[in-house]
Amino acid sequence: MTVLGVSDGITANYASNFPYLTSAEFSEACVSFLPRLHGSGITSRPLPSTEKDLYDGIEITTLREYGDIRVTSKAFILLSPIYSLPVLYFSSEYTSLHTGESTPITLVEDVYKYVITNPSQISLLSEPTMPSVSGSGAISQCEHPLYHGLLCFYIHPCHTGEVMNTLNEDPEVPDITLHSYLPLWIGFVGATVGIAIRG
Amino acid sequence: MSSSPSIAPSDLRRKVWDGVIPLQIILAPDECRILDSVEPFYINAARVSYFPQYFGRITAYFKNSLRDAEASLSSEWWLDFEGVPLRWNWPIGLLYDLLTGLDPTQADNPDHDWHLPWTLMLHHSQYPSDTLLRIASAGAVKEHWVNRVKEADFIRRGNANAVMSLSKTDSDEMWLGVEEHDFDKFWGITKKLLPSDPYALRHIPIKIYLPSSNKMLQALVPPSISPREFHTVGTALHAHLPQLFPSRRTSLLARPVLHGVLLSMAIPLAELLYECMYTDGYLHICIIMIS
Repeated sequence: MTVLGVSDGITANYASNFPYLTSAEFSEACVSFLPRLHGSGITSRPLPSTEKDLYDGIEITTLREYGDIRVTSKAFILLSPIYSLPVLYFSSEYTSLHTGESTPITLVEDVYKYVITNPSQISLLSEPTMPSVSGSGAISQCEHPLYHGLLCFYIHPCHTGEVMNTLNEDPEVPDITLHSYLPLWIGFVGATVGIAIRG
Repeated sequence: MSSSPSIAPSDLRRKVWDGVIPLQIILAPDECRILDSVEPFYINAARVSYFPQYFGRITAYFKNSLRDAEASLSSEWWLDFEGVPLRWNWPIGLLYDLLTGLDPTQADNPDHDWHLPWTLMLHHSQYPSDTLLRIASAGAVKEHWVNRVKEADFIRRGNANAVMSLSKTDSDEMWLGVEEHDFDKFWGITKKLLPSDPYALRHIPIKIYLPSSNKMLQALVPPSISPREFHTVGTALHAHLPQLFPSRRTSLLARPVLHGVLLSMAIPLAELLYECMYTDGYLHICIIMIS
């Protein structure tokens, strides 16, 4: 991957070690992605870093009504310190439109029941895994990486790298820049919480 | 480690494996059919194991005393220590050291409360699902453990290929080693995942647990600082928690504890990993304040 320019004022347009991202590259990807994350039922805001002018990620709120329930999700796009890949964390609850009563979602099977908008896409993310574990899903519950004591779900990131590589090697897909990285990534990960972008 | 006069590294692995916490499990009053009718359950729990691995034995003991007889069929039980629900996804030894504020320097103090046996209360109803991860099935511990093992492998090598390319037999054996608490089964396979030279690792999988808040800090520490200087417990803690560890060589404000043992700041971190890692491939180190 060619890197167009390095530090001292000219930012790189490509990941220096695709598909892995440095904090600065991830921050740049978030900056260009943020304006695209608005629309009906979706709002987003950046998560400022302690380091000046950098972002640690993006927080997204989605709202979906269907049948007699409303499902709200709060999602975070963060960079995994282990995998150097973006990870989607989310917590969701469903509200009865009749009673107004809200129930947090804590079981993975309820995520599939209430939150997943595109189940076929999730199977694409199913993890390659240790041979002794069969059908290990792509989604697990975890402790929230930012808010100590809170629980949420995450989509396992280690498969992401392979999918991004496959996309990048596809001759019909232009070389993936930091600008196009997250929009492509959200295409297969964002379906979980009903995140889709315009254009 | 390599200059330790009394214990060979392979003996250390065995000692870590054999470490236990004696537990006294009391059935919560609102789970009892008849109050005060049942004695507590006592068991020595392996420090490197997870609580759900003992739920079967514990609930079998209390089966005839349960108000809700069906509960004995469920995997989703929970324990509390002094009213605080215990995270089942953290190893037992880590929970004990962190939550009882274990201070190894008090070994000669007859007034020190070691909380032994460790007294815990067992519950089934009102699972605190805002605080504890759900136990969706009996396979929950294995699923959690597998994810940590993969992460640790990735941290060690920059990819998880070693774990992924284990044969099904080996992979099953490794899990059986954890499930049955069998040293030879576990280490027989784990050895295959570790390069012979710990200094060839990319990073050392380490999680650091802070006192009071119990916040967990994930740190990526390479085995060496430079070609001539390896990372020690002290240099790593100084790099990641400089406010608690202002000195690389001396514990001034806080102390690191692993498997109930006070760690010397001079221990090479890579070698510590190889002999003292938990079954998920991580060093889970808890920090205690010096009072």
